[in-house]
Amino acid sequence: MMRDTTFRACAGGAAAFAMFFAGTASAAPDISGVWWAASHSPALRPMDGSPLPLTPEGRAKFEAARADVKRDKSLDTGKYLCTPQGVPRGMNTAWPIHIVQTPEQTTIFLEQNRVPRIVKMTDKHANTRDWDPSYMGEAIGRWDGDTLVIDTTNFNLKTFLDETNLPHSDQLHVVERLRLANNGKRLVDEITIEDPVMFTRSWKAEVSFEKRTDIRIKDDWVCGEPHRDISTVRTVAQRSTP
Amino acid sequence: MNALSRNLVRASAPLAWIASAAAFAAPAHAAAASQAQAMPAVAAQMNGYWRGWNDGPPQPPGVGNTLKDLRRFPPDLIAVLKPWAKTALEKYQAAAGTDMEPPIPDNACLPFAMPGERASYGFPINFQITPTLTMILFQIDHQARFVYMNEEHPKDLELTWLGHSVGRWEGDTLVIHSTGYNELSDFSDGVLHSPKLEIVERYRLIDNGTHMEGTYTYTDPDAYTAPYTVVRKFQRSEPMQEYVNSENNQLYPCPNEDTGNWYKPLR
Repeated sequence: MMRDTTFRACAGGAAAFAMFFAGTASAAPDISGVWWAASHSPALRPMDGSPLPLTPEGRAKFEAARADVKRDKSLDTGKYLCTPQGVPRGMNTAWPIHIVQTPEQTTIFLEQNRVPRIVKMTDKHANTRDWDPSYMGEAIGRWDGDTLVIDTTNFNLKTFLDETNLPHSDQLHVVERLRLANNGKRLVDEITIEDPVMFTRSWKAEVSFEKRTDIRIKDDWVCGEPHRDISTVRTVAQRSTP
Repeated sequence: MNALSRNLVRASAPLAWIASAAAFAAPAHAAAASQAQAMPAVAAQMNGYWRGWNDGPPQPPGVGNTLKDLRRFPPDLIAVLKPWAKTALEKYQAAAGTDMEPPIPDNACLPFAMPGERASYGFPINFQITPTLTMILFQIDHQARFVYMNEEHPKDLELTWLGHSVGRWEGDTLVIHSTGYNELSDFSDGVLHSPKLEIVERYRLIDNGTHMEGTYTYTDPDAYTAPYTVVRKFQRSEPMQEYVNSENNQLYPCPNEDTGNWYKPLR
């Protein structure tokens, strides 16, 4: 996994940092802090209510994956071994998240499975040949007005798109648009999923989080141990099949 | 990465132990003001990726590749262990002298003991400093620490793997005070502690900002006869990659949805 890479200096300086916090830069909205979904659905499905636009191959892969995990639950490592759950599944979580913003990086810490999702604030993906595909992929971010656009690629094939074990291919490309709503009390993540092997077209889903100044994130998730009480999170029943 | 290569990585990036018996003065966190504290300009320069830096002499081939590597058992630390903690360490060392490395949180997919002195080995860590929160990310097993700036520890502190951390600036030095550690974690292999453990970290840039120095002082009246201080240096690093212990680690079963955590330290 480890490859020797030459040292790359960390660009950026104190001036940019100071401007960022003084709010005199491009006035990026402050989305930092703890957020927690008020409701959660194990199935991530198109927000317009349409069925999943599965290709014939995608349908076969989905059915096979569901059968495999039903036979051996350890195949869903994101649930069984608490490995990083990938994107979008990691964002469709019933546990809180904590966002930290600095000028060069937005970090979205997912309490579930204790996964820091590092979003490099830049316009271009690194040369992905230098990086092994990973659970969380390579995420880059930029501000489009008041919306944080996160573009993620280079995923490994060990994750599912959601808890119904909807699989993806190595061509998965996820674009998220995060924006504040309800006077800054809500964070909406509009997720566009593109995977030409699995789907006939890209499709959009949406998850949202409520601002929580009353709780602190937990940083030491251990698989199979008791976790935070999530009974206050409303479970939204959706069709788990296409 | 398998267990063997993990040990090689450890051996190739030994810690820069510089133990000292420096006088320890507990910072007055209880008196920390609640008002926001301005960050010094160096905060921006501390942000980014770092990795442990060994400025000692190069190790000859083979040295440190065994489980008996003395670097893991610094004499100055052993010297301050109270009898029960010393017994626990001896049990660990005896087991480590055999073919099979005994279980420690490190090789059982459990959260690493804090702070970064041993948690990074040679792997990158990432500082994300803001006025209200400092986040420190570790490549090893996708771990993160949250340091609440200019706050006090809660009174009814729940014991956790990473404890609870508060921070403040003393000039250009970032000072972090942590406590509330559970009794499962170990900050050096086989070295245990009590719930009274307190750790003070002091980070400052050195060498015109090309390096960072971290000074760690451990105080535990139930486990150590005196505070133990170690200094570690960091160099700037390439970004971290994803490192998922449960797929790399083959020594001991990782906790899973069915079993939870099975690990108990040798005592």
